[in-house]
Amino acid sequence: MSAQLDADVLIVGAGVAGAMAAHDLAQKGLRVVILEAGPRFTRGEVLSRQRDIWEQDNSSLYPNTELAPRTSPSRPDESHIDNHGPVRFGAHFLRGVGGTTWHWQAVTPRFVPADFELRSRYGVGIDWPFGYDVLEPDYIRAEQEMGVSGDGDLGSPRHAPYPQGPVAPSYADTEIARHLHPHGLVFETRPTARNSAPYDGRPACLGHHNCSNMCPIGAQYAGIVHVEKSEALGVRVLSETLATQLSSDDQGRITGVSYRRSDGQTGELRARVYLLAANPLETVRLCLASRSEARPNGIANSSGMVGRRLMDHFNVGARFNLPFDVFPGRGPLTGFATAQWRDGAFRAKHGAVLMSFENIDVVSEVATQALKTHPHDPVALGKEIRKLSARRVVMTAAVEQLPDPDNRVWIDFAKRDSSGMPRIQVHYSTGDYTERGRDVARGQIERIASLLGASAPEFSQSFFAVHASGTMMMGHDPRQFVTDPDGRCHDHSNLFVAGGALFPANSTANPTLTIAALALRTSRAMRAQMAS
Amino acid sequence: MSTALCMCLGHNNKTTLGDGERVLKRRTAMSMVLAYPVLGLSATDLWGRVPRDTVSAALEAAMPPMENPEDPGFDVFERLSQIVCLNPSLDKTTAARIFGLIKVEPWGLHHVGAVYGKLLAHLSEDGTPRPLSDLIDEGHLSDGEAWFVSHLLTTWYLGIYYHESQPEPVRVSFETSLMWAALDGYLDPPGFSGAQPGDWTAPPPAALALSGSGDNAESGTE
Repeated sequence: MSAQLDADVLIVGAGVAGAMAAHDLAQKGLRVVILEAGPRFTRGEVLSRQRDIWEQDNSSLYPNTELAPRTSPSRPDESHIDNHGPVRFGAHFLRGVGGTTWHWQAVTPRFVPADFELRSRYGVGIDWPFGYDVLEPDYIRAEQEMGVSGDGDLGSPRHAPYPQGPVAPSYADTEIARHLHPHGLVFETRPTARNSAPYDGRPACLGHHNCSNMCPIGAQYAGIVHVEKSEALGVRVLSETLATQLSSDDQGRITGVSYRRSDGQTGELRARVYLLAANPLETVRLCLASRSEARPNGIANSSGMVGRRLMDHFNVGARFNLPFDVFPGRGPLTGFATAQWRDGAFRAKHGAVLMSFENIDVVSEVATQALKTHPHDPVALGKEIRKLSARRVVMTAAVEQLPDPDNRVWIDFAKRDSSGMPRIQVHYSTGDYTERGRDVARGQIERIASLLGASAPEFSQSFFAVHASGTMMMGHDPRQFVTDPDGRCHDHSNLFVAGGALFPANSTANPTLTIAALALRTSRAMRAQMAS
Repeated sequence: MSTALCMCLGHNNKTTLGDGERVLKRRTAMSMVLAYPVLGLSATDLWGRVPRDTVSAALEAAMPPMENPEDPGFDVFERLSQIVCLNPSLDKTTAARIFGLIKVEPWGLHHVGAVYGKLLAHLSEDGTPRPLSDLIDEGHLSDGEAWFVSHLLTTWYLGIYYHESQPEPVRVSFETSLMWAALDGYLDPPGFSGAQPGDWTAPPPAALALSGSGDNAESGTE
């Protein structure tokens, strides 16, 4: 390595993609530095804060810093993201060492094979540049790294067993599935990156049902696992260090990353190869903020497609009261799901749907409701809380979305957030394809509630956007795509991208396992390039 | 480790994890089941009940005197809270937090004194206080006083004080919020668990006592 370089590989973003790649690279003896805008924190700090704050969303537990302002569902006004267009894109990701997987549900389905061939099979969307069979070895490795537990395939063929058997299902899930099975509705366990038995030095799940805030015992995988493994191999993780600009030379090679630290220090780090592994919105911001005379549209953007084709899952939420007790919320949060609407000829007309029960407790919600009915009588109040808490269940349906160039992310140099970076701008809409899928999901949820003898569902619809994807899409044609199929930018041979930003289609699957698999694939390509 | 977490761990089992952080655990479900026969309750009471001896205890305890209705003390507020919630063993730390917030409300101490005064004015024949819901039904409390009762009940159950004098609500309790106590220990607050892997595959032990009776019989699904 040149004496002038700070590392072989410089990674921006210490979430699951960056950490997984860093670990892979460090295992092969490469020197890696990771820049992370957000801070470090401990489980103890976050869990303590959970007991002290009134907000009940899972961002408010975490630090909010000037250098890395958070996205908070409770405080949309403090967001560093401005919305345009007919639908508010409620971006929701965590900036900190370990990334958003600190507060996820750890649901790790693979994509189904047809997700990679949407255009070829159904005449809609964009095909991935490779098929399911090409990615499956990386799926298998990512599942091993994360310790995925499961049994059924949920529509995704498998050629290797899960690393662990499934976490024991809740009584609520098995009872509901038992009632629905005679009607041809098959609900099964979802694979999760959560330990059913001790694995990789982490304990088995003890059912704290705090998965989407923070697992108190580390039974659930989080990106911090591979951050710490990477650091043990010599990787340097620079927290509270915001990447502000990428520099390039006349040949199109990236020559350095400028940064600013929380103490005001600035500088530039240089490496042979660079990997952008931040959230899809933040990666876009860094590329577009790196404009220069030679590259007035920013880095990696000769196609004009940086920031274009933003996608997410339209989330249909529903609540209904069963006529019998199932006691939801005991055990981990992840409930059963059905693969019955994940794929089919219908995808020529409407979006696919992953329909799930969520094993969440609704105690706060029903207590608030019961207090309105019984504002003075603790006897009646307690009875109502007990009954509703045992019987109210929550369903969700994640609807896929087609890529649309008008759904895009850009930046406004005239507006700055607390870090001094240009504010992120988003234009977003849903589209008929997704909305037809939403209507199908609603109809099926109404049918399920009826079959269970439950009350009529109360629906909520939101773009609670936790699965942003598609802003740095990969493909063969440099005029249409930002990166090649390995995640290498068409414009810059030593600049790679990891994360959901690469997805040409977003499936119905929770994206993290696919993000991890792609990070391993890209890491391999980076290693091969450096070796040659 | 923060004070709050230490407080939390004070009554929980502790398990060491990696860097020394603690596993939050609580075992209440089994203790509730064991206590069940002692309370003298029938199985069918479980989902619809408030333990009768608890209610009685809340009403039978002594009523501290109130010297100045416009400046009632903490002992008066604590006793008032016990009667509002029909619970004789409310968490004292939480009571102190709520009282501190109420004292800075422009109407706070006045309402405490006024409602407590109504309790004293409408004691039962045996000299014990009556449930506030009865006094409200009988029209003994003004609309503002009735609202104040609901305000206290809301705060104790949700653990969040919706504060007129401050821009944001305030968390006053978490795992000791009474909405959790209403579940008879079958479900712990998020982040707490007394379970072993897989405990959640079966109905909670308390519900097993209900087999074939109680509200579940309504379902017609068995």
